[in-house]
Amino acid sequence: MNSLSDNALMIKVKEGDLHTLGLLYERHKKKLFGFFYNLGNNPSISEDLVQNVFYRMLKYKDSFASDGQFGAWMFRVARNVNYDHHQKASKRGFSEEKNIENVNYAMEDPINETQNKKDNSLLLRKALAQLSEEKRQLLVLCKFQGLKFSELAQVLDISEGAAKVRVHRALKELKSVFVQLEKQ
Amino acid sequence: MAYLAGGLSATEESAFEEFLRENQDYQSRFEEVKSSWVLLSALDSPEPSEAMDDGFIKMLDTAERKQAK
Repeated sequence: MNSLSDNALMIKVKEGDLHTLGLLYERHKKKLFGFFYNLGNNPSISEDLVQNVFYRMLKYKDSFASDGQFGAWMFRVARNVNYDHHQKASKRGFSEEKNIENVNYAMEDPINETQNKKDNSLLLRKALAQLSEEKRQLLVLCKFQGLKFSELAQVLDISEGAAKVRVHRALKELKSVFVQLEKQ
Repeated sequence: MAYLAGGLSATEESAFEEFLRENQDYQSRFEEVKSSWVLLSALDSPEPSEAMDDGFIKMLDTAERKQAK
């Protein structure tokens, strides 16, 4: 069972073998957690959002196309979960962690990291927080999650060429914001 | 972008590197993009807690019980 592809496992889930979702969870939980965390959510909320992704995978398992790409489908669900969470949060009248001042939890990383790396990581997180939601997602999905441009295009429902152009633009903007923050 | 993201075949990579060697203008533009790409490597995340696993197991268990009824 462990050697089966993600698609094959998800088809099993779709056919009613719900227990198989456990294997997909083990394979992708860290990836999804990193996705939410690097979008600016705190660790506790990131964990809740991961849980929500798998809940929705079960609920909407019939929407998984058997010949589709599991990774792209999973991250489409994850984007929706993130969007819904922040919509609800803003309706409740607060923005938990999507601001620059509150990204300092990144400093709670293990102490064996060098200070320089910590500083860069924090500055990068602050720079990312200043980008639009779409640009932040593009960079996190492409670089940190290692999605191919073809998969990225599927997640965002755009062409592969457009995905490349948008990642390029987002990178340029990130660098520019990062340099400005570095000067401060 | 595809070169940096590792989305090219070995042949395509070689061709791109050759192109950069012959076109200095593109080389400097590429170096700029590359530095931004490398910058992103500083991005990391902590490990999720065991509570997340517990929550998932509970959720899956509930779904399986519901299905069995």
